[in-house]
Amino acid sequence: MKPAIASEVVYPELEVYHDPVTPIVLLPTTAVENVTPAIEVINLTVRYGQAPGCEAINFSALPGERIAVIGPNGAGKSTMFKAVVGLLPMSSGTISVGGESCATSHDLVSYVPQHESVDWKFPANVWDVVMMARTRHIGYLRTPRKADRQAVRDALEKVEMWPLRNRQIGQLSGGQRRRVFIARALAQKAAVLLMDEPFAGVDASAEAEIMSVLDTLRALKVAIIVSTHNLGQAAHHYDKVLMINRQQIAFGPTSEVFNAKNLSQTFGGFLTVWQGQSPYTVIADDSCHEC
Amino acid sequence: MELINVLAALSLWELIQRGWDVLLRDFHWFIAKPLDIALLQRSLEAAILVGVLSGVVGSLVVVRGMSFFADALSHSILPGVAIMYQRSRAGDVPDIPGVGNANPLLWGALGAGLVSTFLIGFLTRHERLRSDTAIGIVFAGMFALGIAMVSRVESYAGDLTHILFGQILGVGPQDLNIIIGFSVVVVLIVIIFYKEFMLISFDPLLATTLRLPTEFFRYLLLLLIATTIVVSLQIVGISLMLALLITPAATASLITHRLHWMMILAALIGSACSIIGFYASYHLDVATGPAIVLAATGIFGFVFLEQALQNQARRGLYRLRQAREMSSTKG
Repeated sequence: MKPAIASEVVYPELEVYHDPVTPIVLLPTTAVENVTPAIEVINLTVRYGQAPGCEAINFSALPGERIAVIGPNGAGKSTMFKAVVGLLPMSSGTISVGGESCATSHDLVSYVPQHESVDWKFPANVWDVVMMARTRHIGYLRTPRKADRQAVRDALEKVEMWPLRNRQIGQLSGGQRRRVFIARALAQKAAVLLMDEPFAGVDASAEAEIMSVLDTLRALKVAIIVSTHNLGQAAHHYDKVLMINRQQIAFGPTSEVFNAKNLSQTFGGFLTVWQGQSPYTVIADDSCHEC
Repeated sequence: MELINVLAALSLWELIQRGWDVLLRDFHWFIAKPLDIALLQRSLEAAILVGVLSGVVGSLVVVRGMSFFADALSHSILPGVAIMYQRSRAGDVPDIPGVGNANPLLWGALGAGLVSTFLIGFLTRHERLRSDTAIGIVFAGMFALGIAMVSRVESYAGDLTHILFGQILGVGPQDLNIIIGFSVVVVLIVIIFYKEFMLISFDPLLATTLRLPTEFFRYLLLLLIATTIVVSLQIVGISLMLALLITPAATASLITHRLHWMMILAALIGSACSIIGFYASYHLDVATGPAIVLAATGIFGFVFLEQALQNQARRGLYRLRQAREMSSTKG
């Protein structure tokens, strides 16, 4: 591997600057009325120990929909995710998955934890990690059957990690590591995928890599809920945006919700929004992403 | 490059053949003679079993980063041993049905091990304390209790050294049966729940969302570690127990990157260390426990150095190739 030498980057003029990413093709909103949401969270409140809680969260995701959760550090994004997958007890509220109460259908929700919380030196290869999602399907006192192996293979092929199945997980790149965890959700046959900060600490190419995998999941009708710090990405790549800062600020289609008023309300002191006479809105984010 | 490899292989082969010749010529003196004594044969069998057992369980200890817990647990069984020792001196040994009063110290150790396991498990459950703090408190408290008990008995010094540093020659026929029984049970449990143990070690969050009884498996694992420590107590003693658990497993983790291979390799390395340590102890007249641990440390050092050299060589080759490419593109 040769070290890549960065070519000279010529930045475009500010006035003609557009986000180079291609925005998401929105799901058709017609004929949506009679579809059961993949996940519906009503009035979720979590107060637990020292972790930042969250109050009165309401949102729902249709199959295949992609939702961005944005908010400053300590706004309760991770807490909300953990409550939704059942890692933390809810103080109040209801969660239904596929129209049913979550008590019965919890393995339909898959959770990808923050990157730092995984031990990447663990002696397991890609195949092992994805097979872990099948533990419940396999059952006690049994070894993986043909259906389990096939599910793992399908999942790995969908995220294009099949050729790397024998690689130890620590030897993968940042984008590949996230793809393995997405494959795990696929092997679990989850209908809803929650990802906590999947884009923290990855470079632009890995981000594009992950995004293309998320597009694959969209085709498979998996609802994806992603917490992110990348506001530019949130504005272009998601059907809906959920803004929280301890409590819900806004939830709705990106085009309606993603505006200066909601953003400054969400981020408070962490984010400054200028909207002068020019058609541009300038957003300055001074929160340190990694702290 | 290839020539050097061939030469190295040839000289290694030569060395192995010479060693083999010597071994064959002096086979009786070197290998067979120690085994003529039933006591020594029994100790070797026990040492091999313990090597396998601690390799398997030690792999889980290493991948979960629980070496401090294991060390603490091996020290905190001292009060149990002390109580049973006092009672056996007084001739007041509780009779356990089926096993008899063969080895009261072992049962005392098991009891104390279970008590401190559940104490630590309970203290660390709600993360009110950092787990290493909780472990440290229980460890120091129990160890102090043990020493306080010991200090009240005179002429305890000799037995205390046995408990601290192991006394492999004390392995009686019944002890061997106990070791066999526990080893088989523990290894079977690890095999049966292998995928569950792997899951809760790698990603306890996923295990919880899949609704697996994570708390049950956590306590089961602590229990297995406690049992392993108690069983291995006679071979290497309290203070060297940790080495037997983590060194072979750490060596295996350098060689392989899959958990089941790591367990198998660690068991092999552990039993090999036991054999090497046993003969070294017989021929060089050193205590068996330290000899086994030193063998394990030696193997670890060898593998570590070998891998470091390999990495260096690979890096050197890479640089060489790059330099050649650079010069060829220039020319």
